[in-house]
Amino acid sequence: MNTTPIKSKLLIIDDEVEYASTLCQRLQLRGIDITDAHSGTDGLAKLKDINPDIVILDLKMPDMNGLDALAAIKEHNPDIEVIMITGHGSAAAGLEAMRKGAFDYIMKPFKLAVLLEKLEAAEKSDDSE
Amino acid sequence: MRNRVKLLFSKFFPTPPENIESGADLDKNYKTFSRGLLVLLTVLVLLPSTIISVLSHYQYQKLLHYDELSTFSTHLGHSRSQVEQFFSERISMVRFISESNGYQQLTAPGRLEELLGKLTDDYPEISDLEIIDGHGRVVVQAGPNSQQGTVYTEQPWYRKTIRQDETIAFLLAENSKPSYFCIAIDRAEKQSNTSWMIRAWISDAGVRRVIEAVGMTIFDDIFIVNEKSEVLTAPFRYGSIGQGNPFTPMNEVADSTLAELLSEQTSTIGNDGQITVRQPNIGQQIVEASFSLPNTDFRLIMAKEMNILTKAQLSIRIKLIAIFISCTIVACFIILEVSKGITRHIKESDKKRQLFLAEVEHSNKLASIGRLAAGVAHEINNPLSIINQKAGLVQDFIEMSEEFTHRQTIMDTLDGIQDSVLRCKTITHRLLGFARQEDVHTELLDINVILRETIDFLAKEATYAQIGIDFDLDQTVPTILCDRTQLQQIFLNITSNAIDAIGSNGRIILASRQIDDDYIMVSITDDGPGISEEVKKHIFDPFFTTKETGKGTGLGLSITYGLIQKLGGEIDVISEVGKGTTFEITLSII
Repeated sequence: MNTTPIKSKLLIIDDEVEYASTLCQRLQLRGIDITDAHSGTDGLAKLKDINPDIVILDLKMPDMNGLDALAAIKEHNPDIEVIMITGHGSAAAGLEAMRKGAFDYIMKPFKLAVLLEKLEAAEKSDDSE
Repeated sequence: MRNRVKLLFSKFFPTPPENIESGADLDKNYKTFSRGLLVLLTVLVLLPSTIISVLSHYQYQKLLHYDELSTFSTHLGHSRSQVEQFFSERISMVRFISESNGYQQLTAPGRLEELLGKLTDDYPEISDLEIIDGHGRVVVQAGPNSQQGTVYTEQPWYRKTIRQDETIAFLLAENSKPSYFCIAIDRAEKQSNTSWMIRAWISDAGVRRVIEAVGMTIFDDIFIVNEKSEVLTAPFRYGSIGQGNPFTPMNEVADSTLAELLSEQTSTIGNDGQITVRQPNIGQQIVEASFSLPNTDFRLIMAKEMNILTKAQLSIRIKLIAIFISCTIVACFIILEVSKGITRHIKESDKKRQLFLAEVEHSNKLASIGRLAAGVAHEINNPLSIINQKAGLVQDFIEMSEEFTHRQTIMDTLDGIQDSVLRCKTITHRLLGFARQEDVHTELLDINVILRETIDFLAKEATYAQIGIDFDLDQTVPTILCDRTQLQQIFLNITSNAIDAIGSNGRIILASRQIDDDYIMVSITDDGPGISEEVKKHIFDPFFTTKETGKGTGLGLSITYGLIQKLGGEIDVISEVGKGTTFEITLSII
């Protein structure tokens, strides 16, 4: 298993606890500094503490719509890149999020490699700004 | 009453049941409807024509009666004046004799015979002349019937003549002798202070001849009756001399058409005239007219049978019936054809409606299955993601650990789990796509270009399978207003299915053509194994697949069907087992 060159601080917000913690664990194993949050409110609270560079955000959560959470994140810090994850199977919601400021979107389930590629791209984009 | 009409109406025009299950029931309903329509139209068409025919007949009959009665009343006046003239002429003649000759001259021997001889040249019906003195005794006579010395003082006519100066009386014959009309003139001579009478005898046969000449061609009968209504001149048809008026016992008809029309005619008859409609026991109605003859107690009776069924009436009746029957036959024929046509039209509309309902039901079924599938897919997606990540995590840990027994096997197994998860993802994403209502983005498209672009995606796959893809495109086909992506997906799905169906070594032909001003058709034909009738019924159903397990989701054609519906098109399958399959897609130009 190769460590990634990703140095950014990450926050994953997903109401599916098992999913968020597993993904978090896998990324941590690759040397990535990542924290998980299991609701929109929890995520926004941790956002202020951690101040991450990239947020992996679920589009659909019971307490908060992913798009609202995205708006709150961007309001908090417009430089934070957000990668949306969706289980809808529709590109439309992802594209909608991108129009509202998300860096990219990815549809569940996905291979970790795909996520890593997108994280790298986001980091580069972050650096270039 | 209203309910009865409703009941009758519902009997002829039954309301079809909500769910018609049996074709026989449906056919029975159509037959009842057709029969009801036939009856209704027949009544509607024939009722007015029947009424018109009957009214025309009635009116024509009335007109004929009117015409007949007008002629009748004209002749009445004419005949009456002729008979009156006959009697007045003879009275004048007798009066002239009495005035020009005087008592002395007339009683001179041979004078009366001489006068009678002269008279009979012009008036052959005068048979006798007699001179009666102031005591009522016949003093002189000429002719075969009168007798000299006869005294008339007790005779009613004698006394009446004294009162009125002149009378016409009737002598009823006895013992089969002929009867006579007698004209008596009373004379008073002032110089000699004497009074006397002259009387002329007129044979009833003579009177009858005159009457016959006057009216027999016009009337069925004409005769004279006295004040007791006894017949004086021999009738031609009804009754006989000496008996009562033959018409009096007959019933008077006051409410017939004739009587109604007669009331309009009375003004032309005069005050002393009387017209009555009589109904004999057998035969047609008779119109009886009677007039009193001046200076007498006699009445002239004229009668005519009203021949309702005259030639003209019969002819018009036959014509009317013929016209009515022929019109009825033509109308019945037209009505039969019209009711058949209407029923056929309704039957076809019903069929179309049923087909449409079946299609809607099918679409609804697909939509609900789609929604259900989408719900399931969405719920499954999250656990699938967890499985995926957990398997990945296990792999991560194994990679970090040292070599151990079956390490590679476990890694391969975990790869297998992740591959299966990704295969599930393909299915769930397709299910979600199937249910999603994506907007249609229309633009003007050249269908030929779309077909060629689509086939580019599959060219490699087809080449590997040694399948030749040919085009038979109509270059003049018009551009259509449609959604590019969705069209591509439709053609891609069908062609991809065709490649799978052929397997290897085969041919696919994509063709385009214009059907009419509004529609074009794209057909995709393969020479694969074809589709059986049983399979054909289900090919558009979701999750129906003939492919091996794991190779097909059973959603491709279902999605294709949904997309074509959304684009307002139609899809049809023509297939023969062993020969191949053709999918025909009809699309609207605008």
